[in-house]
This record gives sequence, structure tokens and C-alpha cells, in this order.
Amino acid sequence: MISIIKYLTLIFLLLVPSLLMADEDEQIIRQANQDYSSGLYNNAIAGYLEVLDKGVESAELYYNLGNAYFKVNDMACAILFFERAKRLNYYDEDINHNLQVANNRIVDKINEVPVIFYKQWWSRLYNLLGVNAWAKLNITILVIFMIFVLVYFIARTIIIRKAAFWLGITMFVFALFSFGFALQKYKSFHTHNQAIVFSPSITIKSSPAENSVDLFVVHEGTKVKILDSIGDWREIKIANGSVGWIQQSAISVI
Amino acid sequence: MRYLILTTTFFFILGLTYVSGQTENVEFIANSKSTVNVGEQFRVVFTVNSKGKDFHIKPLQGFNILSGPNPSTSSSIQIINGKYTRTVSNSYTYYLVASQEGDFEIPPATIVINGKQYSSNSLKIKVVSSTTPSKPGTQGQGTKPGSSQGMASADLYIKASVDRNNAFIGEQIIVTYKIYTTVPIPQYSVNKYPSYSGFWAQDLKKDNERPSQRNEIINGRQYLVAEFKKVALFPLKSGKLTIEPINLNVVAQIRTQRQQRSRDPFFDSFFDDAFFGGGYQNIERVLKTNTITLNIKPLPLQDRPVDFKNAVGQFSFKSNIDKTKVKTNEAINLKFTIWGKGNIKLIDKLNINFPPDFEVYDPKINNKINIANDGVNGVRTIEYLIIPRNAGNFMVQPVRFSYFDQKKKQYITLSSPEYIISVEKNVVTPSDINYSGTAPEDIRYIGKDIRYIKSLPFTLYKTGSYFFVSSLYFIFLIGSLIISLIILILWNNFQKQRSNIQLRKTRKATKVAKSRLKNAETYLKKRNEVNFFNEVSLALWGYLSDKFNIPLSDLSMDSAHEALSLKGVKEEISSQFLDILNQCEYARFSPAGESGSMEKIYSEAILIISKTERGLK
Repeated sequence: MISIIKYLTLIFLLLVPSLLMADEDEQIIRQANQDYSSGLYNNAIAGYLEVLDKGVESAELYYNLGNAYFKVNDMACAILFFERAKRLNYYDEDINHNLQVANNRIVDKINEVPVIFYKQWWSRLYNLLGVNAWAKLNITILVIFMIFVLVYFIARTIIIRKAAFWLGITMFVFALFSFGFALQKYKSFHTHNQAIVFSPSITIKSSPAENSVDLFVVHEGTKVKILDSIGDWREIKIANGSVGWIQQSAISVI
Repeated sequence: MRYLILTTTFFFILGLTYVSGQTENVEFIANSKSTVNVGEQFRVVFTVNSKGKDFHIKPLQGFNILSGPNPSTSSSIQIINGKYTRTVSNSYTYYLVASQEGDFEIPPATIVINGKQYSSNSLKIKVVSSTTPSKPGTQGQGTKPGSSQGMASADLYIKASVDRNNAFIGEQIIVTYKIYTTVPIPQYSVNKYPSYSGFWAQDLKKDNERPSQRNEIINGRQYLVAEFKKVALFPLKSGKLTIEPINLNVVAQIRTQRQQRSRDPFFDSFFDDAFFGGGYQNIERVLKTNTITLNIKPLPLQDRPVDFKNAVGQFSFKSNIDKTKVKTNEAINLKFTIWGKGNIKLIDKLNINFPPDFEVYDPKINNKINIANDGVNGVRTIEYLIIPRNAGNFMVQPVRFSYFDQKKKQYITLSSPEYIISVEKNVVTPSDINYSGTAPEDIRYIGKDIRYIKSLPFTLYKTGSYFFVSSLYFIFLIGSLIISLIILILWNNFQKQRSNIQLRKTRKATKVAKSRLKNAETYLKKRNEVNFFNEVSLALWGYLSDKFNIPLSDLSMDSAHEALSLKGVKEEISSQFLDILNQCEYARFSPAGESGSMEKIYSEAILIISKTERGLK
């Protein structure tokens, strides 16, 4: 009994902070939204950033901030925050639309190399839900699995036991998959291997040294994938598959 | 200047006298001043005493050629003691200006005379910065008034001043350049204008305008102060911006004092006569202003309206339209006027939302800049020609013009009224008939923009805290496992307990049956048939139920037989058992029972129970 009370308080402690903070932040966000609609985009940016600085995030907040940056014509920042919003909510139509519009405004137009179909399916699948949603689903499926296991052991009728066995196995497979998706999504959050170029124009080098051969030039707002890092240098790959080295200060991680 | 003339004349004369003796020898001499100021113009003369060609000079370092070579020829005839001498002198003159400080060499020039190449001497020239005394030999500049360099730097200087050192981007800064002098200046010229990089510059003085003059007393000395240039600057970027110095060539007139000259009486007396200035001497000086550093602040981001178009100053804004009721295809004139003080030329074009059905031509923009002494003001008119193509009521939304008032330090937005334009259908002239009018039109996309922001409420999550890796997740994960394990264990225990009860029941089965038969015995003695048979059948059924763990309600003849044979009871015993049961049932429900059979059934029942007990494995 005591342990149950302990768990309940723990759950409360984990849930309560986000509820408590929302009230104060809501005021700031409301003001920032108002500034946005009256065209004071710089004030709106300051407001959204203030909330973000408190260590909270949400897809909507990133999206609004990206919009405000878009309006003051800072495409690199706009794309950065749209990408961050998209990471939290992959299939949101507004986020994808605005990201596309912003990408049309930048200098670099890169033809993407098509991704192999199964990779694409996998990424579509695991992007269906966020990390937390996958984890919750994982727990739910596990609980259902356990119920089937119990039914299997307790039931006396053969048919019920058979059904419980097969349903249990299906649930177990589902649980494994949802765990895998959650893990994949979590990893994609934590590795921070994507970045946006912030320098108006920068030359990509062939090796991590200032005097190495210039390979190509990228411009503000281009999305790159970070492959490796040595000191201040990052090895990056752009959407068409070209690889080169860039100084860390020129990019900002999503 | 005077010295220059002096030396060149000297050499000229020297050349003449020298050449006169040796006509055959070619003399090719270069000469100039040995010390010059940075930015000072000076002359280098190459003199040759016969006619030559292909005069050539190597590229000069440290000097810029203003003009040259300027060839000139002179010849003279001398008759001394009846001896007739004719001398020819060709000279090539360069006008140079020194561009940087240091010691430089003018390389020898070459010339071809009678097929033979001659080269001149080289010249060493020391270039000093214009503020230091231009001639090392003159000690204590200014302490010796009247000497050729005899003018203190305090006597004549120029100064640039700004009306403010801190300004916002786009805020007007007025730079004034003044000459301070105690000596008369007959002539001056600016030889290097600053480029004003990072600014938009507007001259506030016209080129031919005479500088305003007044007297000022500084440190007890009376100066004549002339404002020779005034510029309004509008910074275009923030940060520390510098205004480059301006270089000014000034000719100053100073009074000469004859008795203090001692160096060269011959030449002095020659130049000091009335022809050469009558006691005045012209000194050419290159003056340089100070460099000014300005601290330019960026305009505040806070409260910056979206319509802000870089206007900084004090402005007014109005608009007028010539008509609001028109017929289709008639032109409308819409005019916006911005006027006031500030960087009017730098204002970007206004955002005007015309109804998309209107045909709008590029605006006619007219700037009228007035230059006043205190800065730039002006009027900008923007005139739009609009032709409505379709009938209807249209609204031209209010046009907003925002500027930053640097005095109030805030953004001010002015707005024009909105205009409702009602367009009537024009009587169509045959040439204007639009046949495609009946065809359905595609939706016209007028602009592409991002979608609007998301409104509240939305949930905020703590950054970097994921349910997935949280302890809560693992608690749930392991918890669900443990709970199901506990349930399984509990279930097992419960099952065990239940089977224990069963075991006890089985053990007690005979006992219970016997006690029931004992009851039956009492009924037998009382000859109570109904109760007797009830009791016997209950004893038998109950025995089966307890023994084989079958609920009473589930028992029937068939299931009893099945259970007995399942437990390995012999067929004859089980059939006997069932037979007795049958008899009991029969007796229970048939009222006419024989009393003799009661004893028989009683004894058989006792017998069969003990038999079954034995037959059980």
C-alpha cells in the first residue's frame, strides 16, 4: 500500500511541473501571439524565446517562432525552428507547408537523393508518433500482452487459451515494434545530427583545415546532416549526397 | 614654392654657365627639392644641354605623377669678349605629389642623343608628414617668423566637427569643416574628398558658395574662421564608423622680414623686390583634418512595426485620390506624399495592397530635397496610376508609413485613410468585348505566404525530458511484469488451496455418507419412507460429489458412471452403485413402497460405499 502511494506521488511530481508552468508562460505566449498579429514580429520573437529559455518546448511554440522569423526575413532561423517543430510533430500540415515556403526562399536549391523505399517506410512509421506517444503505446501494449498471458494461464477452456496464446504473441510483437519506434525516435532526437547553415555563404572544404581544397559553396538556410566532428570542424552531407567539412560556428544544430 | 623656384632657377643658371664652356659634353641633370611634405606638389626637372630623343623614365615609387613629362626648349646666345656661344637647353618637367612618408629615390632617366644613350643622376627625396617641419634644417618652426617655413601650426589649421557623436542608423549627422587662420589665405583647394563609406552623404553647401567667415578668439588669439564645407551624413550601418580626414591645399600669405635673412643674400634680394610679392610670401601648405569616430547605434528591435522602411527623422504623411467613382478602364490617380526632415532619400517603397483585380502601374516617384543649413528635408511623392478592369466596390486598404523619431526614440506610424472605389461597368465598345468572359476562370493565387501561427492552448513539455527513458517508463514496464507475476502466483496459491479443500472433502466423503446413512437408519426405525430414501440418495450423491469433486448440480447418472469408471472402479461395482441410486430415486418418487426393501437398500448402500471405497485407486 505504501509503495502504491509512493508511485502515485512520483507520477504527480512528474506531471505537475508542466501544469504549473503553463499558466505564466501562457501569458507570455498570448502576448507574443498578439504582437505577431499586429505585426510587431521582433517583440513576438522575444516573447517566444523567453518561454523557450525556461526549458520548455512544443511543436506549436517552435512553429510560431519560425513564423515570426520568417516575417522578419530571417530564413535560416525560420527553417531551424520549423525543423524543430517538425521533429516534434512530423505530420503537421501547417509546419510542413511553412517549411516548404521558407525553403523556397533560400539561395540553395538542392535536388534530394531519393531514399531507399524501406528506409522511407521505416521513417514514415516511426515518425507517426512522438517519443512519448510511442512509449505510452508500448506500455499499453505490454499491459495487454500481460493480460493475455494471465488469461492463457488461468483459462480452462482450450479455445480461450489458444486465442490468448496467439493474441499474446501478436501483442508481444507489437510491443517490440513500438519499443523499437520509440527508441529510433528518441535516438533521432538525441543524436542532433542535423543542422542548418547560418553563414550567409560558406565554402565547404575537402578536409578539416582552412587551407584545404574548396569543394562547394552553401548558403544560409540549407539543411545539412552531420556525419563526423574533429575539433571545430564538422563533416556534413547535403541533401544531394555531397560531403565536406564546415566550421562548427557556421551551422546551428536542429 | 619660393625655394623651389629659387633652386631650379639656380640650376638653370648653373646649367647655362656650365654648358657655355663645354658645348661638346652632354650634361643630363635631374633636380628637385630634397624634402617634401606628404601630399605636396613639387617639380622634378630633367635638363639636358642638347637635343635628344626617346626620353624615358622608370616607374616612380612613392610618388604620383600629376603631369609630365612637359618638354620645353630654351636656347641662349652669349657673347663674352667677342666670343659667341649658343647654348641649347631641353628640359622635361614632372609635377609630382608624394603619397606616403619615407625616403624615396627618383631613378635616373635616360635619353638618346646622337644615337648615344645618356642617363641622368638619381635623386633622393625625403617625404615627411605634413605636420612636421618640411625641412630638417629649419629649427623651431614658428620661432623664426619670416623664414620660408615660418608659420606655426597654430596659425593655420583645419578642423572637422560633428554635431553629435552618437546617432542611430539613418539619423542625420552634420559634419562641418572649418579653417582657422591668423594669416590671410588667398587661395585653397580640397585635394582629397573623403569617401564617407558607410554613409549617405549630402553636401549642404553648393560648390560655388562662398564660405561663411567670422572672427573667433581661441586661446587669446584672434582667428578668422571659415566654414568651407558642410555635409549631412546618414549612417547606413551600425557600429563604430569613421569619417576619413579631408586634405586641403592652402596657400597662406605671410609677411617676410628682410633683415633676418642671412643664408643667401643674393637670391633673397633678388626675390624680395616688389615683383615677387612686396614683402609677402606665399606658402603652400597641405592641411589635414582630424579623423572622427562615430558610434552608430542600431535602431531598436522592440516595437518595430512591420511597415518600417528605414525612415528616420520627423515626417508627415498624406495621401489623396483624384476620384473614387469611376467606370471600368478609367484611370485613377493615387498619390502619397511624405515630407519632413530626415533621410528621405533612403526610404524604401511603401507596401500598398491594391485589390488584385486592379491594374497598377509602377509608381512615379519624385524626390525634392531641400538643403538647409541645419540638414536635409524634402518631399517625396509616390504617384500610382490604377485602372480597374472589373466593376464592383473595391477597397484600397489604409497605407501605413512608419518612421523612427530619434528625438522621441520611438517608432511612429502614420496611416492614410482607406479608399472605397466604386467601379461601374463601362459601356463596352466593340473592340473591348471579352469573349473568354463566359469560360470559368481558374482560381488566381495572388500571393504565397506562410500559414498563420497556432493559437493557444497548447501543451508545453520540458525540453529534453522524455517519458521513454524516464524512471516512470521503467516503473510501468517492470511494474506491469511484476503485477502479472503476482497475479499468477496468487492464482496458483488459490488453486492449491482449492485443491486442499477438495482433498479434505474426499477424505471426509465416507464419513459424511455414513453419518447420513445413520440418519437414514433412524428414519428406517420410524418407518418414515420419504425421509429415509431422501437421506439415502443424498448420502450416495453426496459421496459421489465429494469423492470425485463434481458439484451436486452437475451430477447425473451418466456423469456419475463416467466419473466412477474414470477412477478405475470396476464395472460391476459402479453398475451396482447406480442400481441402488436408481432404486432410491424410484422409491422416493413412488408413493407405494415396500417396507422390506428399505432394510435391503440400507444394507446395500452401506455395502456399496465400502466396496467403492475399496475399488478406488
